[in-house]
Amino acid sequence: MTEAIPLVVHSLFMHDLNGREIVSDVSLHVKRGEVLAIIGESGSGKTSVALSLLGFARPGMRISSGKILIGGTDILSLSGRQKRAFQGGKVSLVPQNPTTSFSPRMSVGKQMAELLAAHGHSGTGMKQLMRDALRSVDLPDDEKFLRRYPFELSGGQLQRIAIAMAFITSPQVIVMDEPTTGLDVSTQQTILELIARLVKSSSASVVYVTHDLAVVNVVADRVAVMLSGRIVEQGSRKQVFVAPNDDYTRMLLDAIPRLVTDGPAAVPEADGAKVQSVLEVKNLRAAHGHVEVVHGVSFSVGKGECVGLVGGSGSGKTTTGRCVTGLHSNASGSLLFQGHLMPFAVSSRSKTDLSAMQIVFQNPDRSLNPKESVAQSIARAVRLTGLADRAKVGAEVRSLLDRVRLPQRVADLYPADLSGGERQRVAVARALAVKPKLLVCDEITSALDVSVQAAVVELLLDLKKDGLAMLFITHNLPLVSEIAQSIIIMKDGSIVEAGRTNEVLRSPKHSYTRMLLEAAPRLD
Amino acid sequence: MRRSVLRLTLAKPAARIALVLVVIIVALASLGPFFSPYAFDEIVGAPFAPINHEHWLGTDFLGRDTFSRFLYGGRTVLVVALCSTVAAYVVAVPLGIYSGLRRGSLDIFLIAISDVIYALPPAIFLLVLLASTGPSLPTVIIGIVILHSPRIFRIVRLITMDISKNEYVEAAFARGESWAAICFLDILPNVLTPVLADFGVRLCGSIILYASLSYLGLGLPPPAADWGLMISENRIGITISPWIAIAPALAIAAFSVAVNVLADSFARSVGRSKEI
Repeated sequence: MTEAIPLVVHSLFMHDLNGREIVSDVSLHVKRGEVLAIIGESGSGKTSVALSLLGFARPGMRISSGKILIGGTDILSLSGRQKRAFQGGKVSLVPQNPTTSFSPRMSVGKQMAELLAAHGHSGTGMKQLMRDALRSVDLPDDEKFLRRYPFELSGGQLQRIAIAMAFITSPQVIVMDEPTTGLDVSTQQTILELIARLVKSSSASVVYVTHDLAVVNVVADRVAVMLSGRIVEQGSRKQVFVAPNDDYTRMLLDAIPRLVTDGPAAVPEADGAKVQSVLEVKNLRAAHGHVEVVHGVSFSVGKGECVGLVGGSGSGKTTTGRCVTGLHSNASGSLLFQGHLMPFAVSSRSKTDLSAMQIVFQNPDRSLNPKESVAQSIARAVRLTGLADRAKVGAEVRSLLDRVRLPQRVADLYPADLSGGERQRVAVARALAVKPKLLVCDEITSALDVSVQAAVVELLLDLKKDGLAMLFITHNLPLVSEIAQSIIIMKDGSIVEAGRTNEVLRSPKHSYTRMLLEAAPRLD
Repeated sequence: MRRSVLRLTLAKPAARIALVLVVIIVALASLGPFFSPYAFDEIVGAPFAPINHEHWLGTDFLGRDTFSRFLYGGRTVLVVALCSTVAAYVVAVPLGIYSGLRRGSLDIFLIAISDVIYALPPAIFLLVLLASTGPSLPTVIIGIVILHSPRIFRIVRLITMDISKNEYVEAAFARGESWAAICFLDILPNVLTPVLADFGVRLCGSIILYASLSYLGLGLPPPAADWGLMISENRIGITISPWIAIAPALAIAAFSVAVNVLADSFARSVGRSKEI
């Protein structure tokens, strides 16, 4: 009976070296041609389960008990050599980050050939397989392409090759570990379509790991929801999304930002009166070296207003944000901040101007000094406002922690002790410490889980109510629709469309905006 | 945070043995003279007397007690190695941080100088330096500092450039923090750990450099006791009483290997512990 089902996992347990249970009693099965999505937040054990399907445990982790049957054979009971024949042969992996999963010193053709050679292919047959595989993922199949090195290809192209390599040995089971997370929306969309097509034509069983529920909606037949090492709910996609049985699943689904075209944020808050503008950018041009990446961008941000700056990767949206905050000085045009002209370089701006404008970055891991406790890093910023008295600084730090809704006990912790969401809130608190008038948020939620993301967005909405102006840079349209009144769509360094969020989203004028709207995965 | 790195460093038996060796040799070199049975320059018997209960390592080519000389002879090498290594860091770390953070013309100038020093063969450079100014311990220390600094400078400069790309440094600039605050609070603490991992290797290099100079007679002048010097001055008796040369040679070798093993283990544990 089990022979009919290519993948059966039977009560799998995993522990780390300290004996802590990472995965407990996970059982699942995937039929031929079926896609099972494992969803969960970071630390839920979803990637550990996925890698265990290849008979592999990450360093510091071990598979303590359970059975993983691939085509009826328990991969955990195999010896080293037999296991290697299975890995890449009967079961293959599409890793998360295509830019680090290829060896930088080897051409992509060689890396494909290496895989095939390890599974007994050679000569012209192998070349033919490689060509077919590349064609199946819509890539050129000529010699010239095979001789390219990973750094000569885009993330999307590399992920296509990784997918081609996962399918090339016609495995029974394919494990995909967040294969679209590092890609921008439009690339993500085409990769998802590609995966769906390949799965259909190959009839392999696929396990798709992700934290992005909207993606699940596109690819999965069945869904398993993981929370702290356990599967809390498993069922067909429809059942899980429409009628979830578990509270955690419901919470996850509620936390996803939805594209709202008439949400509360879309209603202008200043009653018809013209809002006082905090920042006015006129004809901003910026370059990296001699290559211009932002070509004459103009927009303004009013008091208490949130402007969403949306675009794919390479659209120049981050560079625009960095120009505004003075971190990118290779620029021309004019920045009018609170009515006066602002130079581009940080070093020629006045202290008051600097503190009036703050930036929060995408990656919370790198935005806090690992050697400073939370209280120390916030206190440094507080002292810049001229406050010197220890007790007063301490009180201010405590009130800032309250404002970003962090418990007081985190004050003495170090960044390494905090989760991504907590770190991002500390970064926001530190930015607020100098009492800014404008906050530039550069993809601040894209590294966070949905539930954490929802909390951060709520915090930003609160701050906006207090009159803080915000420039919200993101590639996530649904997110923008929740918090921004105005929206600017950027493509290749120019603004293609701008206006009130609800109007732009309801009736997009530019084809790129329409494309972004269609590409945004959603739950319907 | 610190403790977990320390625990990782000493996790392997080899590292623990190395630590014990380092402690023993440092204790021997620093406290030895207080326990030595004779003065280091006192002639106590015939040259090259064999080992006996009075002279635990026999006597040397002038009939002095080798064991006493061995206890005295470690001080200089350890002091010179430690002083020169620490001084090299004191010179190179601030320059490296400055260069990595500010860049500009001083950076280019410093890189050029360090390239020139890199090109000099260390031993020959020291020999020429000492031959032209006359051997003295301060000159030896200055020479070793000159040799070490560019290497440390390069490492610190690169680490600083890497750290300054972090968003917490950019955020600090963007909110108007002073250069001093950024250097001392953001850069220095994060530079220090990798630099600490490098320290052992430099110290080991200094030990070997000084021991070689001392062997060549460019360290402490006779009749002083010095491990390197002891090896060379007792060369002629190496067939009669080899232990006179072997004891100091073994001490130098054991110390440099042990320091190296410790440094290596430390560097690995810094890489493995995510906290740092």
